[in-house]
Amino acid sequence: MGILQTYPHIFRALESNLGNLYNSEIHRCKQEAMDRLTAMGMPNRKMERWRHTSPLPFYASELNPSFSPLHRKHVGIHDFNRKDEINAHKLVFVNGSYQEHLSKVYTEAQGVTICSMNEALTKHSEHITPHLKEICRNPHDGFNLLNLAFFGDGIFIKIPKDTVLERPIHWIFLAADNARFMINPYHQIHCGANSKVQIIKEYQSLDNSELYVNSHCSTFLDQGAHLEFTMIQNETVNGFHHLNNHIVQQKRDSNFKQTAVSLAGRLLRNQVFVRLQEPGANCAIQGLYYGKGDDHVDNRITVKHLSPDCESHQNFKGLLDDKSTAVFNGRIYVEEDAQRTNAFQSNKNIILSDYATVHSQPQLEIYADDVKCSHGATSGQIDQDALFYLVSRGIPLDQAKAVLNYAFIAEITEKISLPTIREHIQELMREKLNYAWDEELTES
Amino acid sequence: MTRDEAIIKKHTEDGYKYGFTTDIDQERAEIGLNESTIRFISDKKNEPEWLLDWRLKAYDIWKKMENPDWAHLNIPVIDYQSISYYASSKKKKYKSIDEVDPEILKTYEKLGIPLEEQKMLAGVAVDYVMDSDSVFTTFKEKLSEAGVIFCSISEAVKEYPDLVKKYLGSVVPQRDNYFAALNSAVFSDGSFIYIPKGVRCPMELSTYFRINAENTGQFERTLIIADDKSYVSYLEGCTAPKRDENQLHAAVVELVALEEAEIKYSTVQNWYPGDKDGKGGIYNFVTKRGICEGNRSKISWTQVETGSAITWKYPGCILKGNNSIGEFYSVAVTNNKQQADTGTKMLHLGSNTRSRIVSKGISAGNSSNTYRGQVLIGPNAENAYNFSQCDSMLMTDRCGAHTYPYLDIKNNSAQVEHEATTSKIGEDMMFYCNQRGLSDEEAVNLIVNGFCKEVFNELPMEFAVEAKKLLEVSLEGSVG
Repeated sequence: MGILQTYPHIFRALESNLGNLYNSEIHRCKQEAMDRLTAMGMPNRKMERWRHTSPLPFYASELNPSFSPLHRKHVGIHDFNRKDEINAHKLVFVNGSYQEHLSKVYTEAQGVTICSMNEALTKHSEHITPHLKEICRNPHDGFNLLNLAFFGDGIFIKIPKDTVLERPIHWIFLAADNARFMINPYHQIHCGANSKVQIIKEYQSLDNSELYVNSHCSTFLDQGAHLEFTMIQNETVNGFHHLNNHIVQQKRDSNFKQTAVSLAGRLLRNQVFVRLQEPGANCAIQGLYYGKGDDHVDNRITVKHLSPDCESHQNFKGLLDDKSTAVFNGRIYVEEDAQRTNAFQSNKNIILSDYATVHSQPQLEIYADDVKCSHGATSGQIDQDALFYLVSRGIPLDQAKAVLNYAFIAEITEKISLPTIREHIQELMREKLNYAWDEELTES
Repeated sequence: MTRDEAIIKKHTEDGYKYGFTTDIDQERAEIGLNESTIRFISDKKNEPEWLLDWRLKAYDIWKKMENPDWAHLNIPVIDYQSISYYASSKKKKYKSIDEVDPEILKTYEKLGIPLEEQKMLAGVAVDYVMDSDSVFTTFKEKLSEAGVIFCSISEAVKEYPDLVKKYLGSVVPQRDNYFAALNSAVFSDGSFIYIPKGVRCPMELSTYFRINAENTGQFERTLIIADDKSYVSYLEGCTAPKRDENQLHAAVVELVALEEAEIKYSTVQNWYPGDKDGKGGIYNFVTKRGICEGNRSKISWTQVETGSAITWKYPGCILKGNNSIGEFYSVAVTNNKQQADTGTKMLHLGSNTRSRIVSKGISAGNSSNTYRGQVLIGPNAENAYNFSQCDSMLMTDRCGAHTYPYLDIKNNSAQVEHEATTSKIGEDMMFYCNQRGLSDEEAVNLIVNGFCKEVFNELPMEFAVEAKKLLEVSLEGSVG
């Protein structure tokens, strides 16, 4: 793999662009990450974790990683908003760099910080460097280190304790200018004790851009904190290639909910790694995916129960059409003394075409005895009896199929608590499934 | 708690019941593995040229392979050059039981299976394998009347070379995996069974494998072929003497079921698991696979695994024929420092193929018990159906129970369901039993037996009794 040899050269060539970060603590972290990456190497398909998802598209030689261009302003973009604009803090990134003129951050309670990573690196670096070092010491794989070495812009959120954010945070990632390169965003979210936040992360493509995103997000939930994180990946065919790494650390009685909605994307790999560190922490990781064409959706969820009395739920549902592939790898790990753990895992798939493929690996790794753990995985087709029932009542076959498919994934969408986002996703789903939604009928 | 501790102490200090050594003169290959070892084995067995070439090819492949490390096992480095690859009793072939070395007879007596009794038992033909050679074969005449061939594989090589040549390595090729390649290069002996067209084998066939000589890895090779519309049920059971040094066992079992044939393969494995600190014990790396070659054929695996320090075993079925059926029933028990990574592979290739997986794992002590199973539905497997159920039971708070299913589905008409639960013996269950006058020990046995019932029901009767007894012995006093 020649690409690995080129990384250090690119890295050295770009170091001088670091500006005022040159020779800082962060610069040294990047250097260490680069050194470790050279020693460790990039993943390949022979590795168990990459058996079903090829990392090769990311190794294309023209995709030289770069530090995200700093403060590059995109002037031509105005009209990317939906008609039903939500009342939220809006942070817009184009091709990986923060666009202040397109974003809107309202003033919130004292101590709330919502800003771009570039800004945070100069103002709040004391919160960032320890975590960079931590990741550098215990990387998941080469992509983790690659992100660290080349990371540029991203998002930084810090919510002080006992604060409930009035507005959700809407974080929009756009691809524009027919771009074709790799970006490595790094994000960090801190939720103080008993705080409550909602975050919506959305990806959109404005043209035929092809962005290769290798992002990393570190999230920290203090005692009693509450975070709901919703991610919508709905791009054009070329759109994005994603490797999303999300590491979540939860303290006592905190609550984390993530919903990943993957509606299109050449290669999507969402990795979530949750550590339930103190008693009473609980998390719910759920997702739905709809694969068409050559789409490849890979969800890898690891929940580590490190402490007693925690609870976790994983629920993923998918529809696979054409030649799409879905991979689900869920893992529940229960440490020796994590007694009275409740952990549940479910992955259900409906295959709509003859060429779609599902790889499902719901895994349990349990070292404590007083636990309630279960996992289930199914793969099948639309229930023929239900289909017959609908058709026999005069509903055309394609509509009947759409109704059943929509009902199948509704279990996931219904759990999204923010109404505007829930409805937006439901509408997207109906559109994808050609479901002729009859408003009047449902209201009567 | 003190009472339980006493029970635990009593059990864990209980030595391995079947640990003893038989002193018999032995002829063994020089320690270490190289081409001349393979030539020596082949020469000793008077093998034809093609088999020697086949072995050498496997050795070439093995040299280029690496020890697999993906299993959830902590495997100590095995020095393949410090093992003797061939050992056999000097005396050969007995016509009557009086000719058999009395030492060997004593061994079997200690195991609770005296030949005399076995002979009288409801028509079970036993093909004893003591270390590497088949020493004694009973009921051979009765079987040959039905046209059934049941002999050692080295005998089959001489007498039925066409059959062996055609099917050897057809299900588990030499390059299948590290241990299969090793076995292909140095396999010593094993059983060969051929059931002709339309024959229902008149009795249950069985073999006892024993590892006896010190430092001898045993490399069994079993080949069972069931021709059109035939049926055979085969039992395999084993115990091994106590050894401090780890012993390696890398067996290969191949099953071929032709049109409308049915093969039932049952195993009770109780090799020496090592002492309570994990010292000693057998390393059991087995490749077992059957192919449902013909339409409407069926292969059923049933296993009860209680022994071995390390178990690495995935009996699988290739469902190639249309309407073929694969089944896998397993009970795996681990105690003390035992490690097991076991499961199955169901490869659905033909249409209307069905498979069923029922796996029960019980972990106690500091052991680690893993289920790892793959269900693959190929693009041409229309209307394939799989149901998997993997339940784990944890007996202490220091053991591990893991489940790694792999579901790979490439056909939209497939119906695949996987379910798993992990639990411990409920206090309410124990209370209920205690209240009705059962001791803790009895209550645990009752509950565990109920947990495994579904699998035991699949075993032939004599085996089911043995398995139940084994389970009780293995788990004696392991509940806190």
